[in-house]
Formats: sequence, structure tokens, C-alpha cells
Amino acid sequence: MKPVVTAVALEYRDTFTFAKLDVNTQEEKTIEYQIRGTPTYIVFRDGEIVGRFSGAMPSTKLVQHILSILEIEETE
Amino acid sequence: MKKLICSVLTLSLALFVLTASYAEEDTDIDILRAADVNADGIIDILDLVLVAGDLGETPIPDQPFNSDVNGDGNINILDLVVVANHLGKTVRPPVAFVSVDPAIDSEITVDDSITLTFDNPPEDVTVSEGVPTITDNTVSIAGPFTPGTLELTITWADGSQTLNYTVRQPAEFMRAEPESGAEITTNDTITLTFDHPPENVTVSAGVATIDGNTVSIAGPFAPGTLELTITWADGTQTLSYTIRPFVAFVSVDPESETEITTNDSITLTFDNPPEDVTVSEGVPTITDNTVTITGPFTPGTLELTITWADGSQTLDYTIRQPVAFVSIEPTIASELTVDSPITLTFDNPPTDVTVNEGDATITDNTVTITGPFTPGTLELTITWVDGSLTFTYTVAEPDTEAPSITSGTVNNDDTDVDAAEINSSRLIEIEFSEEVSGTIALQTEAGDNVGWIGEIEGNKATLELVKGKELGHKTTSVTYVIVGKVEDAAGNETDINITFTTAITYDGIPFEVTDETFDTLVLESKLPVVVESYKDG
Repeated sequence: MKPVVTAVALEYRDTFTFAKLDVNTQEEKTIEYQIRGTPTYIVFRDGEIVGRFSGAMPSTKLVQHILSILEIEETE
Repeated sequence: MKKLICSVLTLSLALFVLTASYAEEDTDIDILRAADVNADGIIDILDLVLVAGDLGETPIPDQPFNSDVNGDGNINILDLVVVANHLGKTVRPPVAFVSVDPAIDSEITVDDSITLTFDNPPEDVTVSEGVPTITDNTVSIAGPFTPGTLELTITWADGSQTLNYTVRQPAEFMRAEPESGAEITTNDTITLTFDHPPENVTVSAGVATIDGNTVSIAGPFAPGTLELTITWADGTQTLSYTIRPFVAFVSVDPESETEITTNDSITLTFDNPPEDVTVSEGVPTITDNTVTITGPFTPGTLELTITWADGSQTLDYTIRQPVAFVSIEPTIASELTVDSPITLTFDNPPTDVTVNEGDATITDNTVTITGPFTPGTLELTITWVDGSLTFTYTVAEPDTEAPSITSGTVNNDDTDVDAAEINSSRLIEIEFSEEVSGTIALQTEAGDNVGWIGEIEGNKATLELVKGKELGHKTTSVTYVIVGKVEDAAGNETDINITFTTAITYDGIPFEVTDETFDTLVLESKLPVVVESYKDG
């Protein structure tokens, strides 16, 4: 999954950023954001959660989810 | 008349012839003297003529020539017979007392002689006391006489004389103290001892006082050689002395009943150079009129007795250990500020401390001297009970300039600060213009402490990164403020307030967030952030 995220992050670095949270070591945020499984994707904008989803998926699907949450049309 | 005289002379010649064989020594001297009518020492015809001329007359008292030779109140043939009987005889004149030496009623000694003088050599001399010796007209009567009242009667052929004297024992010189030839002082007393009380004592120098058998002669005597002659009723004695000035104690330094140290010296001053000086403690050194006594003396109470030829003096002191300088801080010749304290250390608590500049405070064995001192060269003299020292320092002009920031990892109002590089070095440094002390911290723009460890040492302040507290920069630029306050040694303060903003350094590579950086990197991000949870391993 890592190469998928890395590729998406690189491709969309001017649209959004990708951060990684290790649920084994960062318990406070894991509990605060009620992360119950991995991978879980939580989308923040201006300090607020605007969407979340989970599960492994191909890059296109991942991009679609994110852009959808961010209400950004895919250019290609 | 001539006839009568001739008849008398003839009769007298006949009587003379008849009585010529009479010897004078066989005749009473009084009769012979009566027959020597003209008292010319010889009985001759002239005496007959005088009696014959007065025959039949009544003797008249107090006449120069007494013709009543036999003293019967008539001048007659019987008187002629008496003269005629002694014709040709010589008649010794009567011996009369003339004088005596010593004079009557005077005082003599038991061994004295009394000499009587007569107008002619006396005969048949006897005395009631003593032994008489007759020489011509004098009789010397030698003792010993019995002390007391002497009633001396001298009897000789023609009379007697009673002489009254007071007889005493003669005083004989026994010894003198000091002995003749000794050295004495002007104020000394010379005591002479006699075997009996002397009388009529006179001295050539000094004042004599007689007490029983002794005569004390007190000065002052003149310095030099003294030939002292003592004359008394029975003799004379001459004594020789060398007179030196009497040495009197004048003063002492330090004064008696003061406190001195074990190593102090005590100096006594006399009016003349003292001799034969001894001291009960210490070592004396004599120089002219002074005696300096050096220790070490034993701590405690000192009763110091100085004895010299003419006296002694006792002085009381309290002896204490001396206070010696040990060290000084700051180092001599170093540079001070006007307010820098100077601390001296002694081996014992000093007393009587004075300083020529600043104020001295004594605490046990230390003296702290505080300013403000005058800028420039400081010649600081400290004097204490046992000594004095001078130290030189340079006093700098007062430091009124606050420390300033000369350089730093970041500067105020910096933007686009490379936070990644700072996080990598884990350190933010700020350098000041001088050594400072104080506090420093890294805060957020809102004033929250980021948690970096701030330290100040020397002229440098450091902020050390604590893991998890990295500067934010991935997704957004973050403004931080370095705050604090420092002051230099003079107390000049400087507030630290350095605001800097990190540059966004997101490069498209997913980055780690932690509980600590989550808010900064995610919530404060200018771009939307997709947080992917994962489970490491």
C-alpha cells in the first residue's frame, strides 16, 4: 500500500498532503479520532475533519475518495 | 730711827747667824712665804727692813707687804725673829690654776685627756679620777673616764680645782654601705655605721640623718666623683664614690594594661641609660635610654617585670595571637567594576579594620570591602590591628550597557526559516555581546511553551529540541517566538523577543505525525491533509 500512497501524494502534492499516524505509538490521536483499523484515512481541511474512509484500495479509488471529500473535480 | 734700824739689823744678823742652819724643806711653806714679805722669792735683809720699818704698827689689811709675819695682829720683834730665822732661804711662789682644756662643763669621751695649765709647775698633784702627768706648768689627766657625769677634782700643793664634765663613749666609724669606691646613683643614700652614736656630725655633701649608731647621708649627689667627708665629734672619715645619674622609668609603649600580640615589642624609656637590665619574659635590647623587649610572648596574661640597677617596673598586658593576612579575592591587579566586592581572608578575626576606600564588613576571618569604587587605578589600603597592606586594582568604568544579541540561529522577523535544518541540528543558538545570565524559552505565537530546553551559559543561550517537539514546517509555515530575559554582571538587562517563521517544506513525501505534532502539522496545515493510520510492523 505504501507505494500507492506515495505515488498519490507526490502526484497531488499541490492539492493535499499525506500524513501517516502509527496507531501503535500514537495512542492519543488514535483514540481521539476513533481509529479502529488500518488503514483508515481521515481527511482534514482547515483543521476540521471533512471525511474519512478505510480499507486498502487501488490508487485511483483512493484518489477518487479524497477528491470527492474535498469536492474537487478530477482533472484527468 | 736709823739707830733703831741699825739695831734691828744687827739683832737680825745675830738671829740669822743663830738660825742659819734651818733648811727650807723643813719649814712650812706658808711661814716662808710670810717671811718673804716683799714676795721676791728670797728671804733677805730687805724683808727685815720692811718688818723693822713697821715695828709697833698695827697691820693694815690688803697692804702690798704684810709685816705681820706670824699673823698675830702685831708687828713686833717676833716678826723680825721669824724673818731673821729664814734669812737666805728661797721661797717657792704659790702655784695657781690658769685654765683647762677641754673647757669645764663640756662633753668629753672616756678616752679623752684633760689638760690643766698652771702659772707655775704644780706639786703634789692628785686627781679624783684618771691618771695625771705633770709637764712643766701643765697637768694632763688621761682616762678612761666613766661615762656619765664627771666631777673631777685636782689637788696640788697650793690648791684644788673641781672640774665638771659629761663623759661619753667615743664613736668610731665601723663601715659604710655602699662601701667606699663603689658606684652609686645621684639619689642613693650612703649609710655609715659607728660603734656608738656619733655626735656633731657634718658631711661635705648630702644631708645627714643620725639614727642611733648609723648616719644616713642622702643625696642628691652631683654626678661624677664624690669625695665625701664625714666629720663627727670623735673623728673624720673620707669616702670616695663614683656618682652616676639615677635611672628612672619614664614611659612604656605600648602602655601597660593594653592588648598586644605574641610578636609585638615593648619599649621602655628611661631618663638615663639603664644598667643591669633583666626582664621576666622576652629578650631585652638596650639602646641609649630605651629598652626594647621582644617576644614571642605567651598568649594570655603577661605580668612583665623589668629590673634595672636602680629599680624595677611591672607591666601588665594581654597577649593575643597576631592577625595575619592570608589571601585576597579578586586577584591583585585584576580589573574590577565599581561595585565589585573585595574579600580579604585572615588567619584570625581582624579588629580595628579601616580601609581608605569603600566600606569594610568583618565576618569571622574575612573582611569584605564594598564600593562603589572610583573608576581608574585603585590603591586600596587596608589597615587592621596588626598590620597594613595595599593592593592595586583597576576599576573599570561602570557597565551601563545592556547585553545585546550579536548573532543567532534565527534572527528577529526571519521568515522562511529552514525548520528541518534546525530540527536536524536539534539546537537554536543565540550569542550575546557579553556574558549573561537569565532565562530563555521557545514559545508559539500564542505564547505557549513549545517545550524546548533553554539554557544560558557564558555569552550564549541555547534552545535544545526535545523529541516530538520539532518545529513545524511540513504543511504550513509556523511562527515561533524566542522569549527570555538576560542580564550582565552589572545587572543590565535585555529582553529577548525573537520572532521567526518557518518555511513550508512539504515535498510530496508522506510525513509522520505524532500526538505532539498532530495539531501543528494537520490541523494548522494550509493544505488539506489526509491522515493515513497504519500499524508499524
